[in-house]
Amino acid sequence: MKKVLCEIRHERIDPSRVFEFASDFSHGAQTFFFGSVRAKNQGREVIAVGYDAAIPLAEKALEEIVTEAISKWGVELKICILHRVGKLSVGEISVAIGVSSPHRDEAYLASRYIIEQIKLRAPIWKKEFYSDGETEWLKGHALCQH
Amino acid sequence: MTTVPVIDIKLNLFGAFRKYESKGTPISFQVHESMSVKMFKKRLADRLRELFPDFTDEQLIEDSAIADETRVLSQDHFLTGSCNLLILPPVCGG
Repeated sequence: MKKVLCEIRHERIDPSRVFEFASDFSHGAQTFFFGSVRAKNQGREVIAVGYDAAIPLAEKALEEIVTEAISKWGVELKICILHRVGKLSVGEISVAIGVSSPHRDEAYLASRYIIEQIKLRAPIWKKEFYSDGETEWLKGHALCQH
Repeated sequence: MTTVPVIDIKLNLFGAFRKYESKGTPISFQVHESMSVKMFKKRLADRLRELFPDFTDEQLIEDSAIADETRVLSQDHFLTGSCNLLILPPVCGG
């Protein structure tokens, strides 16, 4: 049975896909994290966010992060990460993370680790579109170059 | 007189560098063979300055990583043949 799913796609994220993948009758805990586009950022009214990604490298980064999570919190984990690219309206899901685990501690910890590492390491970028017509690429974290 | 061999680079742009794209195509240019990634970034800044006289993103280039199609390259990596590269500005997924 496949235990890991990492995808970056243009298509809308269907939460039921995450629920179905990250479920296991031998597990007693599932955590689900959904990141979505919010209507305000730093006092500005946001109408949409454009997501850009170096997709093959970003999917590889997601797989590395999942491998690390499994090595930290157990080989039993089932993990699903779906991330959008393209222009998303306010309220749309940009990222979904599902973790299934025998016990809740590992599921919570792995889920939190994965989203924080995505923000630090996955080659994905956000451009905000504001209600006044302006746009801005958000500042981020420089990738390690050593 | 010896001439330094040159290699062809196609550079794929992402994030804040997308504004330098022409119809979604990579930037193509030549650099000296065995140039380090660190020097390549300086050459890239020169190239973008040639193409865009109002170019001011030197610091963004400095803060960005260069990758090939499978991995991020270290600053000390040497470019030994014609290739496709990617420039990856600071990331902010999620």
